[in-house]
Amino acid sequence: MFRSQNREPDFENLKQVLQKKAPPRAVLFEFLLGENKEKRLTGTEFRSSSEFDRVVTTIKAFDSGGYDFAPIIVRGLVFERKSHFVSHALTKSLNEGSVITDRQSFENYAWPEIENCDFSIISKAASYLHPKAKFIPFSHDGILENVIGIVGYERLCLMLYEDEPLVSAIFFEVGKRIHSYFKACLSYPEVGAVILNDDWGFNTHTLISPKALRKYVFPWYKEIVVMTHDNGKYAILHSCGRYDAIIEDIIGDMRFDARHSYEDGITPVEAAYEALKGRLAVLGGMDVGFMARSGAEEIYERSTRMLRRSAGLGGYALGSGNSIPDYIPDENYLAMLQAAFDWENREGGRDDPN
Amino acid sequence: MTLIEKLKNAIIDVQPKKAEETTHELLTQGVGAAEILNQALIPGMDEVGRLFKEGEYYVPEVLVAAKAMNATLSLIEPLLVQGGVPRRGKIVIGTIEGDLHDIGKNLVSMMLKGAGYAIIDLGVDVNANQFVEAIQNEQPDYVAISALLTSTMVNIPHVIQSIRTAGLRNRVRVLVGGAPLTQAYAEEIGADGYAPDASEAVSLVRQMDQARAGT
Ligand code: B12
Repeated sequence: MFRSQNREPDFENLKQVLQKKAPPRAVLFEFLLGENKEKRLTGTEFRSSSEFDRVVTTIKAFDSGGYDFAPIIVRGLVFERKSHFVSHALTKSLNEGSVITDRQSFENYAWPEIENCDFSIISKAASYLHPKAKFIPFSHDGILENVIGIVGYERLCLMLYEDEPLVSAIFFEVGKRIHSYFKACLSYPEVGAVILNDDWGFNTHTLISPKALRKYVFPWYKEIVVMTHDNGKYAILHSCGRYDAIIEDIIGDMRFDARHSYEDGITPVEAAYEALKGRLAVLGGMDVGFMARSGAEEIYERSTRMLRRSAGLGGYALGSGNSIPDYIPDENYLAMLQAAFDWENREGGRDDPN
Repeated sequence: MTLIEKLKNAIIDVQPKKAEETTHELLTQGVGAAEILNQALIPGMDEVGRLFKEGEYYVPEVLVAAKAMNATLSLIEPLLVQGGVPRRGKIVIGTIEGDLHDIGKNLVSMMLKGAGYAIIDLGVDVNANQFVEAIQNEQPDYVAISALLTSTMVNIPHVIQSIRTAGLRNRVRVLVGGAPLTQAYAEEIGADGYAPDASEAVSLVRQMDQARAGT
């Protein structure tokens, strides 16, 4: 157990952040942890031989790391795509999918059905969750990501010009399934919030124009967020890339409670927080490249500064800019956790007079 | 509007069919391939690059414009070769070893091609030996390397080292780019240039061409 005994998980803390308020102690947020990081956090309790084992391991890892929740994915909603596997490669191409190339292949496509998902894993796994912690479900890729997955990115770009009705139809089929997925998740009392995970941008632009996003993607998320709020829960957007052209859509139109994923090359989290505080909770933001290549001390310092910056104002939870892949050295990740643990001891979570 | 302008606009307005038809018309009228390249294609793609940089265009627009450019290029390329029209320079490009990400690399290739450069695309997951071999075989002016993650970016210095070991370092300029890269990192690893996006990659190569011509 990495957290101290008296830093007990309590979703109420994260809830304060999602309500853009100042939590009573430093709150941590992460979307994904690499397998070796989960091993490090769970030690001898690490299990991965079945899906249920993996879910329980994630719960234990997030508990040990001092989080107030555990992310969870319910398997089964996988939009099949072609993929050629290169075992030593660390990334995959956005072009490799291309299962749907035209009307014909669209008609023949075997859409995954929500019935393939066994949502009861949420209540079954809940017995391993700390009594005050909650689950935050996410999906196997978001709406744009899945469409890119099955069409191929470059093909999608051309299709937007060459066969707009087909593009519309594909987004509809994917969108309604992601919507049903979250609808099912939201019915569980163990769920406190949802992560709507969909990468919309890269360094300089959104992947497709804001106009296209508004037409094909955002209406679905708007509905999912309404549904989330109607259930008394919170909607967190995990979306990478440049977002200035769509930030008003995220806050004003889709009404997300929080946004996750920040990169130093786009808008460092410090600047993002200054721009968004009070309107949208800012989660994470310690740039992944920074965490991979800096010393543990630098990470500890930057994390502490970020906690100090947000202390009086709230609406911030400490975490990485994207996730903790295993190429971030363990000690660097642990330095960030330590900054949160030390914060309440050292500065009591209150504004530093300096 | 002249036919050359019509072709240029077809590229800027992302209309591949119109670009192809207009190129046919131009060739039937006896307009030279070099003129088509220099007066329509390159300025057309420059404008597309500018619109992308300004945030007016997104990747889909650039890709469809590139399709229009390719429609023209495939018609005039044989004539350029026949006529002995020199290309602006040759660029070997690839995504670094361990990385299968190709959207960024492809965009950079397209824009450089649209700026009149000959592109040798080595694809994705390209290791140091493959880069060195390509330099030996193709004798390019530039080597452009793309990376998506910090974990694959760190393979770029190995390529630069291998180029040096093979005694080829002063024959090529090394350009780097991709999400996790920065100007500072490019300098740290001894690359010759970095650009944050595909249209700046073109400006960078042009600047370096000028600097080379001046020396
Ligand atoms: C889409 C995306 C994904 C997709 C697909 C990724 C893929 N491999 O194709 C998915 C969801 C699968 C994914 C997964 C992951 N991702 Co990802 N992903 C992205 C995202 C949002 C966009 C990438 C993209 O497609 N860009 C589109 C093209 C057009 O842009 P580009 O490549 O940057 O190219 C432009 C310029 O860079 C430049 N350029 C590119 N190459 C070159 C070359 C030269 C010579 C020059 C001059 C210029 C140049 O010109 C191009 C056009 O203008 C980026 C965010 C970002 N800021 O880019 C994160 C990002 C790359 N991902 C990131 C991470 C951490 C991951 C994961 C490790 C997450 C995890 N824990 O599992 C995994 C790794 C998966 C894997 N094994 O491949 C991090 C990497 C951080 C880092 N420093 O290492 C980023 C930066 C996000 C972040 N918030 O930090 N990802």
